[in-house]
Amino acid sequence: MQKLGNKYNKIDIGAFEFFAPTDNKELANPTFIIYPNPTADWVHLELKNDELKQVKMYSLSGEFLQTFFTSDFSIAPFQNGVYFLLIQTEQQSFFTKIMKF
Amino acid sequence: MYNRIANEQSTDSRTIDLPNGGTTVIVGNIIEQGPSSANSNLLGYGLEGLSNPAPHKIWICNNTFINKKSTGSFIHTQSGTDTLFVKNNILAGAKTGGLFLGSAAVVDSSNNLVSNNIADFGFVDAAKYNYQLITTSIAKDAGIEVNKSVNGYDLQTQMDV
Repeated sequence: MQKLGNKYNKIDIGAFEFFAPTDNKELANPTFIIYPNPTADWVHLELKNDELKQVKMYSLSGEFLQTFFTSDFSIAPFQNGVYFLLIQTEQQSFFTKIMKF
Repeated sequence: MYNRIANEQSTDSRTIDLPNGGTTVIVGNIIEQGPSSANSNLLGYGLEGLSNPAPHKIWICNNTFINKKSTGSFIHTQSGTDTLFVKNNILAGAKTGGLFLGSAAVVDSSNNLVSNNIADFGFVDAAKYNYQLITTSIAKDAGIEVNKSVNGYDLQTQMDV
């Protein structure tokens, strides 16, 4: 039998095809602003359409250093260098790098 | 193909009028006649004379016709039409004038869903012109394959578009 016209191999009557909704939630645009970068002390994180859960800071070698729970935090106690930040929000997680001088 | 053609609350005439016939493909459209429409046919074909080049064949597949008037008919073809091909369509609403009017030498009108009651079809929100199907709609998975194209136009709807 020849393949029918849609991805479910079934055809509805009428102009519309019924496609069941999925549980996949469309994520908001994961834009964020982190500044200043480089920084000697405070870091400010702004999220767009999302809520911050926590920020985890890692060395370049992957060693876990600290967790921050606010969008303004200080990295003054750490040595100069480049660090990874794992930013975890209500909807997703993403990495970025920051330089301490 | 794949249009929404509706007069909502206005007083226009037929929703689709093809006054002079010819080869016609109507696929995947919402075709709605509002309650104040001045004419009772949703689709007229060749009603001002079949003066377009022959053949006079009309192919109507996977459309949702809605008549929100309390009277009317759905498809009116001029006598002398060569082919009237109607499959996988929803024809919802009053048909006091008959489902099809006129005649055609060849009529193939199987596998359509017809009811005077628009609520029978399981539209998401017909009052707000949303004619998508709900999970339990009787139209769901009730279509048949139409393995044919006319002048390069596929009569099988392309649902993933």
